[in-house]
Amino acid sequence: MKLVEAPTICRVGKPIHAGSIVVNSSQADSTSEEFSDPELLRALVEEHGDSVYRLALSVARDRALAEDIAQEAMVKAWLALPTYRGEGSMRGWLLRITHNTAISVLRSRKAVVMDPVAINDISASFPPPKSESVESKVLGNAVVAEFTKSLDLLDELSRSIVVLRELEGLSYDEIAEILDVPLPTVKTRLLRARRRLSTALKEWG
Amino acid sequence: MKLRRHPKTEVLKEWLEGGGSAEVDAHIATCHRCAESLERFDDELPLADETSASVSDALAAVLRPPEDLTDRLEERVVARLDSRVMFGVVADLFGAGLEASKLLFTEEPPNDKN
Ligand SMILES: [Zn+2]
Repeated sequence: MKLVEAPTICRVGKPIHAGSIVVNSSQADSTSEEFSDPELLRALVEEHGDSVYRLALSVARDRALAEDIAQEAMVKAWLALPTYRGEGSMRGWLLRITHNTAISVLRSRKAVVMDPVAINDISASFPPPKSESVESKVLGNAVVAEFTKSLDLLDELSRSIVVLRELEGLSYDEIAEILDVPLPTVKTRLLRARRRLSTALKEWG
Repeated sequence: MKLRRHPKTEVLKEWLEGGGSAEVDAHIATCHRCAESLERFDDELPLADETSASVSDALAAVLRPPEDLTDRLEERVVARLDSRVMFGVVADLFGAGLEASKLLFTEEPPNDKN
C-alpha cells in the first residue's frame, strides 16, 4: 500500500499530521508510557518499517542486526513521538533516529570506522547471495555478488547517502539533515558511489 | 588536514573514480565549488549505459526487507514497550521511582537529536 505524505502541521491543541499518520494532540501531550495506541504503532511500522530496515541494513550489513536496529529505532521513535514537533517529514525524523541508533549500536560493538573520510570499514560485509534468493533471481548471481562487493567497499556514509537518495528518493537537503553532514558531502559522495555501483552492474552487462 | 586551495581538475576527476587523499576528501566534503565541478565532470565522464534506475533496482533487490518484517517488527516493538511498562509497575510496587527504574533497565539513554 502506498501512502501519500501529507503536510506536517503541529500546533498546541491541533492534530499532528505525520505522513498519513495523524497523532491526536491529547496523545501527544501524554507521557510516553501512556502513549499507547496499537493502531498508530501499526501504522508507523507499516508505513516506515521498510525504510528504517533498509537504512539500518545499509549501515550494519547484517540482516539480524538490521532488524535489531530497526526495532530499537522504532522504540526510541515511539517514546519520543510526544516530542515530535512536525518539523520536516516524519520519515526524515525516523530515519535520523535510525541512523543515529545504527551508528551507536555499531560503535558499541566497535565494528565501524566513524571517520567520515575513511573509505573502508571492512569489519562486516553483506551476506553472500544465495543462488535461490530473490536478489539473485532479479539480477543474476554474478551481478549480485559484484554489486554487493562494491556496496561493501563503500564507506558507511556513502552507503547511507546512496540508499536515502536512490531508494527513499530524498532531497540532498533532507539527506544532509538526516545524516548531519554538509551538503557538498552528500552531493559528491553520491556521485562517486553511483559511479562505483554502476560500474559493478555494467561489468556484468 | 584540509587543503586551502581547490584541488586541480585531474585530482577531482581521480577522486570521482575512487582515488584521492584524505586531504582531498576533507576539502571536497565541505566545498560547494568543488561539488559543482564534480557534478560537471560526472556528466562529462562516460559511464557506458549507466542509469540511476539500475542502481536503485539493484539496491532495492540487495536490501529487500523480509516479507514478514512489519509483523515481526510490530510484535518486537510492542514487547519492548510492554516490558518498559512492567518495569514501571515493578518499580512502583517496590517504592522506587519510575525514572530510577528506567535507568536501571534500559540499555542506554535516548540521545538522538530530535
Ligand atoms: Zn574546492
